[in-house]
Formats: sequence, C-alpha cells, structure tokens
Amino acid sequence: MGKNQQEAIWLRRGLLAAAVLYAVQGLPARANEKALADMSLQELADLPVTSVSKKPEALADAAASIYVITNDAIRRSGARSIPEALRLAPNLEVAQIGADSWAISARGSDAASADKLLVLIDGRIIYTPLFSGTFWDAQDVMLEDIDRIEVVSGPGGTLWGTNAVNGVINIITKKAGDSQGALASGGGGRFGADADARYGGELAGGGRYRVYTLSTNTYASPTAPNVPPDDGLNMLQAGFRSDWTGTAQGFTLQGDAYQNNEDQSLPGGRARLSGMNLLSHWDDRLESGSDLSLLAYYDRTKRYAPTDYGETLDIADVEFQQSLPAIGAQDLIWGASYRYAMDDIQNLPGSSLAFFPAQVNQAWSSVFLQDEAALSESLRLTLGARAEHNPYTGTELLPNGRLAWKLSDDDLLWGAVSRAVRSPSRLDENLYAPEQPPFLLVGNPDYRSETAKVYEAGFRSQPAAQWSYSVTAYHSDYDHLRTQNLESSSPLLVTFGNDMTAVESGVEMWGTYQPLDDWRLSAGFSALREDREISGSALPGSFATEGDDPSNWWSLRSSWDLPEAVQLDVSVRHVSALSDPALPAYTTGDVRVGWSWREFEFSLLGQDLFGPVHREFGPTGTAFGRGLYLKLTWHS
Amino acid sequence: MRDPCTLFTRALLPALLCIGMAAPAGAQPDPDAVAAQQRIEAAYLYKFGSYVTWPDGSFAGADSPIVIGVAGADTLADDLSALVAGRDIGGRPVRVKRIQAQDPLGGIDILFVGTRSDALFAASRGLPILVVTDGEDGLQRGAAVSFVLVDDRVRFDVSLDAAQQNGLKLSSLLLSVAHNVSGAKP
Repeated sequence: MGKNQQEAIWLRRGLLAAAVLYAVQGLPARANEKALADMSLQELADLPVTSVSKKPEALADAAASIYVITNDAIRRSGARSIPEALRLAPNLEVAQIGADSWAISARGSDAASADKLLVLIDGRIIYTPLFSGTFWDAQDVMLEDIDRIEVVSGPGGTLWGTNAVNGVINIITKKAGDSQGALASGGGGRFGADADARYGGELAGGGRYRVYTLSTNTYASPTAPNVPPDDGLNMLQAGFRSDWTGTAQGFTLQGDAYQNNEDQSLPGGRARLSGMNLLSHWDDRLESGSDLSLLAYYDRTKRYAPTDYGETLDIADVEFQQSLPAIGAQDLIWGASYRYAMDDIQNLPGSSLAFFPAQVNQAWSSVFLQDEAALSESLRLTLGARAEHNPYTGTELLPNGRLAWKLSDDDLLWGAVSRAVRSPSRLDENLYAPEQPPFLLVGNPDYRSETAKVYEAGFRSQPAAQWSYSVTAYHSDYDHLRTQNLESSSPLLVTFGNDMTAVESGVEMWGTYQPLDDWRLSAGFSALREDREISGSALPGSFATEGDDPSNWWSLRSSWDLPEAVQLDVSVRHVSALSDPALPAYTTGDVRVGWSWREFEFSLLGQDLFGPVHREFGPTGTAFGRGLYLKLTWHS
Repeated sequence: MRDPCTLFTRALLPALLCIGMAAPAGAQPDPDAVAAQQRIEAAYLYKFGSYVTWPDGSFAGADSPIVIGVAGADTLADDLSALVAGRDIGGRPVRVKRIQAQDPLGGIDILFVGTRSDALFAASRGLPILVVTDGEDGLQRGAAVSFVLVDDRVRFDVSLDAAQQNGLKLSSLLLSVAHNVSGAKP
C-alpha cells in the first residue's frame, strides 16, 4: 500500500512539474521532465532518486552509479541496523568489525576510520569532522520508516561537497503522511534484542506527524576467556517527524534524541554516547517555475569512552538551493551552504590518544552551480562545480562533467569526469599518541587535502519488463593520501604526510530478474584493483591504515512470495580475501521466512546459515557465525 | 567500544613503538631476522619504562636511574646499551645491567630473562620489577610481559596478575598495544 502511494506521489509530482512548465512558460518540456512524465510504471517501480541531481529524477536517467535500497528490501533482508541494511548495496564494501563497529566504504579504502564516504540522513550530514568518517554506533533510525537508501558510488563533490570522494549514502525516511497509524515490533535472537514503536497522526492545518521510540540491544561478540567483552551496545532513541505539504510548498520539521551505552574492555565503566538533532526543511515552487529549498539543522553528539577520550560536538548547518526555470535547453541549479562546528574534546589521562588543541570552532562554507543542457532529444550534458572553503586548506574546487545518452526509453549510456577532495580532519592535524609525552605520533598541522580524479562510464538497461541491469567501470587517480612519516626533527616521532598515490580501477554491476510475478532474483558483483605507492619519508605501515579491500565481492538474492502470505528470502554473499592482516575469503548466506496474518507479521531469520564462522575485518575483528533472530511486527 | 579513532591510533602504535628505535639502532637493514627481532625487543624494553608505574619508594630520588637487567641475552644487552645511550625515561637516566642467574635483583626495575631457567622468575616474585621474557609460554613461566612473534611482527602478551604481584601498574596504552592481555582487572 505504502509503495503504491509513494509511486502515486512521485507520478503526480512529475506530471505537476511538466504541467507547470508548459503553463507558465510555454516552453517545450525539458528532456528530464519529459522523461519523468513519460515514465512507465516499471520505471516508477524503481524509486526516484534525488541524490544524483539534487532534484527528483528517475533512476533510469541518473548519470551515475547509483543503487537504491528500498524499504521492502530492508524488511525482507531482516536487517537490524543501518550497516546491515547497507549490505544490500552491491556497490558498497560492508565489513563488520565487532558488534558495535563497522568498516564501510565504496571503491576501496575501507577501514573503521574510512574517510571518503559522505553519509546523510534526510539531508543531515552524519559523518564527523573529527575523522571525516561516520560513527556507525551512534546512528539509528526506525528501519520500518525508511523510505529508501540511495547509494551512489563515485564522487559527488559538486552536489554534496568535500568527503563525497568515493560515494554518498543518502538515507531518506518516509514522509509523516506515509507512516500513519500505529506500529510496534519486537525481536530477539543470538545477536541481540530490539523493540520499537511508532504512531503517526494528523495535525491541525493539514499537517501529518509521527513519533517513534526504539531500543536496540546488541550483545557483545564472544571474546577469549579472561578478556571482558568490549563491544556490546544498548541504544535508546526517540524522535518525531512532521510534514505539511501544500500544492507548491512543503515544510518538514523533525528531530531525534538518543542515548547509548557500550562495553569496553579496559577498566573505568561503560562508554556513553548521546545526542540530539533538530532539522527543518522548506520547499517552495515559485510561479516563475523556480524551485527553492532551504534546509537547516542543529546536531549535537557526545561520546565518552573512559579510557579513550570524550567529545561534545555541536554542529549548525544551513543549506539553500534553487533550481531555476529552464532557459532554452539549459537547466540551472545553484546552492550555498554554511556549516559551523564547535568541538570540545576531553583528553583522558593514560589514554592512547589525544587531540590538541582540545577545543576548536570551525566553519565550512560553499557555493555550487550546475547546468544541465539538453544537447539533443537524447543527449544531456551536465557541467558543474562547487567551491568549498574549509578551515584547514582554504578553498577547494570540486568540478564534474557528466554526459547521459538515452539510447532508447530503456537504455542509458553515461560517462563522467570528476575531481573530488577529502579535506583534512582533526585526526590528521590534531592527533597525538599517547595522551602525554613522550609522544610517538603527532598530527601534521600542514596536512593538505587528499584529491581524486575519477573517470566513470556506465550502462543501464531494462531490456524487458522482467529484467534490468546496470554496469559501471571506473578509474580513479588519488593523490596526497595519508601516510605515516618519520618526523625529521626527531627519529622517535612519527607524523602524517601526504605521500601516497593510488590508482584504482574497478567494475560494479548488478541486475534483477523477475521470472514470475511473485519471484524476484537479484545479483551484484564488484571488483577492484588497487595500486598504491609511497614516496619521500613515508613508512610502509601507511598502506595498512589507508584501508584494506577485497579484490571482489558478490551477492545473490532470491525473494519469493509463497501462497498464504508467506515470504521466503534467501541470500548468499561472497567476499574475497583481505591481505593486511590476512583474512581468508568467505561465502555465507541468510534465510528469512516471513508470514503475514491480519495486522501481524512474524519472521524468522537465519543469519550466516550456510557460512563458516568468519572474520570480516581487521586485526581486532570478531569472528561471526550462525544465529537466529525471531521478530514480530504489528501495525494498525 | 571500538572507537574508530582509537582503532586507527592503536593500529599505528605497535609499528610506532619499534619504528622510532629502528632508525638510531642502525639504518642499514639487518639480514639476520633473529638479530632484528632482538633489536626490536631491546627497543620495547626501553619503551616499556614509560608505561609502568613502580610502587612508591622504588627509587631513591627523582633522578635515580631506571635499571634494565638483561639475563642470558648478550646481543640484546649490547643492542639495548647502544640504544639507551644518552636517553632517559621521564627524566631518569637509563642503565643496562647484565645479570647472572644467582645475582641479587635489588635495584633492578625491568628484567629481561633470556634464559630457559626459571630461577630468576622465582627470585623476582614480589619485587618491584617488570619481568619480561619471550616465547608463547612466557606468562605461564611467571613473566608480566612476554614477546611473541605474530605475522612476522614482534608483539607482546601481558599478564596483569604478574604485574600486580610485583606492585606494578601498567598504563592502558601499553595494554591497548598488547597482543593479548590476561589476568584480573586492577
């Protein structure tokens, strides 16, 4: 039901856009809008994508390597957390390190501290300026209320800013109007126990709202005898979202607050995390045909690990964007953003690391302009650039050019050239180890930005109603990647340098085939080849900290709707070996059986059912094996 | 909790602990792996001094030396002597002393036992000495720290019980770098 509603909304919006353009300007509809209005139901079934062009666009038209994880796919995978749901994207590397920690990246450089991936929840950037990565243990959403997760592999700097070097993950929750009524679910199994509840209703003035609360209890992974568990996690979160949708305007106000507790192996009690955010988003379509969007949010995160460090980080962010009415065949979009962060680190005695200065206030500001030109009926050229000012290296330029050639209604050939930048983080410049002298490691106050030049080409096709596929090849030249260098003044001291270059080439492909109305098969495959080189005084250990990637990984999934409202999902995934530290390749798989009865859904998930006990990442990675998870969901 | 910044830093630390030392000890690569291993162990022995808290009264004065005793490992003792020349640990000069099995252990702060004899382990029990050895069974034999070779890297295991028996406190940094930590929490 929700899905049909969603389709209808997007269909309406697409038609509305075209209608407004015709009426107001009398101009021929642009290629893009035409494609929207002309969409077949099949095309609509693949959800529209805002990530690539920052305006609604059919997936079939996006000139980028983009995979969409739907709400339905998340439910049928049995995922309990965002990282587990991200395993569904063939263009992501997702490796679990411990119960509470993950290494997630796209196109290489995967590590717990992976720093080239931009992650957003409803437009709110959730990576931290502390290390340009994401604290996955602090992120939760009610999975039932996720509309979709758009995963773009490849650079998105022009539209999304620095750090969108290897990809963008855009987690988009449902509008309040699409999550009305009551829902409650509870589940438990070998790896944890969870409960959540949501209620959605109407507000005076035509608005809709929902409120939710969730509790996630992830059990610590098994450790050696005499070693206390260090990765169990309790999360408690609550939040709301309210939407007012008019014919031309829309307004959203939403917020979340959470508190987490985590095990840790060293004495001093459990680690504590907490945070809250408040976000507002306003959309307006002017009579001139121009679209305005204003997003503003405040985000606070606190972490305190008794033997590591504490941090209180406050971020305020404002983003403005305007799509101008088409001028001839030109379609212009521009935007500006400002971000202010107040970071307060509490350095703890005896810790293995510290940040100096402990407190900093920083600002980032940027403007971008992008033009989409219809060169012909079937050829679209997109040129754009963003200039972003950061507190470390000044202004960085992030240009990209994209060409989309619509061979037919069902086939798109595209290519892109981009420059992406990862600007320095506090980890690069302010890190000291250990917490007091004698230091072994000091950050580099002159750290420069890491850069990437990326060339991509792809083909997406839906040859028949039953099947579709996407193939992308890329080649990336990275420069100034982080290395560990001997400090020239003292042979006992190591600092960071920018003395690594890397060349990465790879392919990403996936497809779905629906032999029967109620049976769907999907497959994904990614392979990459990395050649990294260091120069100058860089130490060989630098290779390991830049990340560790399998040379290929693949997945297969079968989703079958059986009679009597029974759903059977079987998935298999394979990840090839890692080299540093050496971990063998593994193949594992899940089976989930779901059964709907009136307002209830029962499901039983067997995780890693036909796989060996395996470790997925790093020297501290835990071994994971077979487990069952039973879940009951009720909705009004 | 496995914090990304902490994981990142800790991943660097084992390398850092020996990298710094490899340079002054001799820039040219040593073809003999055993010799290289001994030099790394020597460097560790010096570094450990910064991450151990000895019981009150272990030192006569604020600038009393830290004495590292070495038994049954002459090459390592030579490496260590060369390495600590002109260096200090928290303001204290460092001395290296060769030890025989029957020698009294008074004044020794860190003791490396390179022999297979257990006499020195017994003799050091209860004294404020950080006892270090090498081998997988080092902790069972009574050492607080034992070097082990893991993936061609010199790592070390720690026994908190053994350290506690001798009245020593080990910093959490040392523990976080350790390959394995066993024994009761303080």
